Amino acid sequence: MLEIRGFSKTYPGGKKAVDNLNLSIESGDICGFIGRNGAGKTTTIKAVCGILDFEEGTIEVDGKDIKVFPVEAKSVMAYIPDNPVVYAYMTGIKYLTFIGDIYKVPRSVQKEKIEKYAEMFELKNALGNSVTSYSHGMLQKLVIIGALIHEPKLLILDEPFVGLDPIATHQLRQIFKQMCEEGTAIFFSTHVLEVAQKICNKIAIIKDGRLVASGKTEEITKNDSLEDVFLELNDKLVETENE
Amino acid sequence: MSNFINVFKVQFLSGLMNKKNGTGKNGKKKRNVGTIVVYAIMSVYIAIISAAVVFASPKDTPVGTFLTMFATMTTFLTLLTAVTETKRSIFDATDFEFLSSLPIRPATVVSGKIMAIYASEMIFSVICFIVPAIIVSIMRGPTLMLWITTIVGALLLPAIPMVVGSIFGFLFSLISAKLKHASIIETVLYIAFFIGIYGFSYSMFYNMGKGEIPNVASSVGRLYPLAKFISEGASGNVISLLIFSGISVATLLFSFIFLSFFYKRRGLLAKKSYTSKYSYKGGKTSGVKTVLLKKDIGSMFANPGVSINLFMGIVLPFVFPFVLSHIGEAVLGMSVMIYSMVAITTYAFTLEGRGIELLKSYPVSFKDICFAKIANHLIFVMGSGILYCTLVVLYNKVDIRLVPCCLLAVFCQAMFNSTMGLLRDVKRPKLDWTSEVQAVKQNTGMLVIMLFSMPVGLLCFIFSIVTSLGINGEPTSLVVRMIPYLASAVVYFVMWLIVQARLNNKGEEYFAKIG
Repeated sequence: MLEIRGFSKTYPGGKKAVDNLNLSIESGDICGFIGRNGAGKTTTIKAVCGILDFEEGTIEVDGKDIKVFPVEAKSVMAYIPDNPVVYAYMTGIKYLTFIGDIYKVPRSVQKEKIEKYAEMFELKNALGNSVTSYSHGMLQKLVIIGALIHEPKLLILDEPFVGLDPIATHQLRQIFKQMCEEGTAIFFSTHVLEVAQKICNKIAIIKDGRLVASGKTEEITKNDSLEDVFLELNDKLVETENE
Repeated sequence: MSNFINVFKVQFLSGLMNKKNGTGKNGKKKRNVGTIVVYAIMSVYIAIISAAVVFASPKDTPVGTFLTMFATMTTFLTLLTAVTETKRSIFDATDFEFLSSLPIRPATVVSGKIMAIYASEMIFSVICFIVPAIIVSIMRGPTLMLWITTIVGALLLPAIPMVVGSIFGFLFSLISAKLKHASIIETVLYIAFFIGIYGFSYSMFYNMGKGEIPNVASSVGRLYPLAKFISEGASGNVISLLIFSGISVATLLFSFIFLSFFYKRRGLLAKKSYTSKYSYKGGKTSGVKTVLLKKDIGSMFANPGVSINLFMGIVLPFVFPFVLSHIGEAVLGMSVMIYSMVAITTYAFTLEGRGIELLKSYPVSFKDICFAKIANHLIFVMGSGILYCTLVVLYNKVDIRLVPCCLLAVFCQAMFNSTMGLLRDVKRPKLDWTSEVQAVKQNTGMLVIMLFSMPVGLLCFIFSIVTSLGINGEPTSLVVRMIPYLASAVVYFVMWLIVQARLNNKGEEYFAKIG
């Protein structure tokens, strides 16, 4: 579903944010993307979503190159940013209708999905209000609902659990599981290693723009916690760099 | 003191907000060059207008007369910007919570903010006031008092409009905050305020009628009574200059007290939150272009600052059929010149802000995005143009057969303006703004577009006057009177083709780099 080959990104000024990253995510996978601040997670995610331009490597979504067929590739995926910016003049329902129309979802299906997810995230009573009155968590929920309306084949999320209350976090995890059972691939960055270990069947760890570990969660963690593995890996790399 | 300087510096730089792609030394260099170019273009416009005014006035016109006009013009322009600037920086300040958490006294915060607004307005007043003074000096000879008055005026002129503007800004926010559709009501109040100022200014010209510069100056002087002190100062009356300086400094000091008082009571301006039940609109799914267009139109009305900017361009022209009725048929040609100063697309991508990342993640092509943004511009400009032409036909009795030619010229011009605005904004969007007002007001792309578009519009207007007057006392035929419009339509069309080709070649590349 998502195939990243030799992806590198250098920002103006010469900073190499990501260096030769290779990653493959199949349908039904939940892949947690882990790394320290500034490791290159968001850069990779934005490049996958077609937000950030890049010069080296290829990124294919459902067999479509994001640079060659951007519209086709984007139409099968959904992106949820860490800090959702929603058009301030819209109400919640207007935003969801806007997204539904952009993804060409029939209105009857839109209505059904909006009601289902709004009920689930307890946002139904706020949908008629302007998004300016929403809290960060409510905005996050709204954008998540928007991402689920068109049943994407690939769901990409940048720190999805930030700002969500415990119940919403639980519900999102349940949705993730259900979507994966239905064949959706999920790729998300997170700092919540506990959650990543619990729900991800794949883990990718990035440090200073380089993928330092990737594979099935149990192969990476073995009998340890993901947190221990991550810290150990980080220490080892720091030592290697010092040498 | 260091806190004050820090607050001032941060506020002033964020006010200038000229962030472009690129970091490091080169990025900074580019930013500086861009700002200087924009101010240079503005100075050239003002120099041309000043030269035309001085040239058209009798030789014995006192130099103070010119300063009266320029001082009033500067004051009114400063008032227009100050009313939204104080709102953005003080009443609607998004950094309020952050600054409140710092160990800085509120009075220091407000002082820093006021001085930042004052400094940015002063740059404007320096250009608006010193450039004409240079022209007057060249054409009529320099005097010591002319230059002393000019410098004092340039430094102190922003004080009064800043205070008046902030009082109006505060009142509008206060009134609308208590009502349901706060943003719409606030927009209406602002538009009424601007139309009031423009209408009043033009009515003074209209009542005065004859168009001779000294008469214009005396009328203008009535609009802004303090201008008489400047006029007298330039003529050598030191006392008048001191009175003007005293009033301005006292007003500036008053602004510290007034704005500090209201900064602490910003809670009064918090918009009342209303809970509404949602209703789902069924029917057919809208097409991507339609959805994007609706979004762009909606964003025009999202914020009073954005709406005001839009309406200043498309509503205010309706003053001209009444004010310029004595120029007859040429009032139609005026429209081509007026709309050359409208380009909504110059902030089309900028206004997306950080939300542009979500937009880029949607399955929509760059062409569809451009289509929506250009269509947005065309709807407003052509809508306004059609109403303008209707008014001119009904009120000024202009030959209706000229209307299609005029609308064709306005259409071709709108295509050029919107495409060029889009090209410029997609290349250098400024996404890191703190309020929509900042995004719109400090977008300088309009000046660049005016550089290309306005001369054509101006020539169309001039030739429409010439052809409407007739040749050798004989009235000209309809075909001849159509020529200015058709010729400008052709010129705009060719200009649009060039810009469109550039957008086709480079637009997508620029768009990919945003973010």
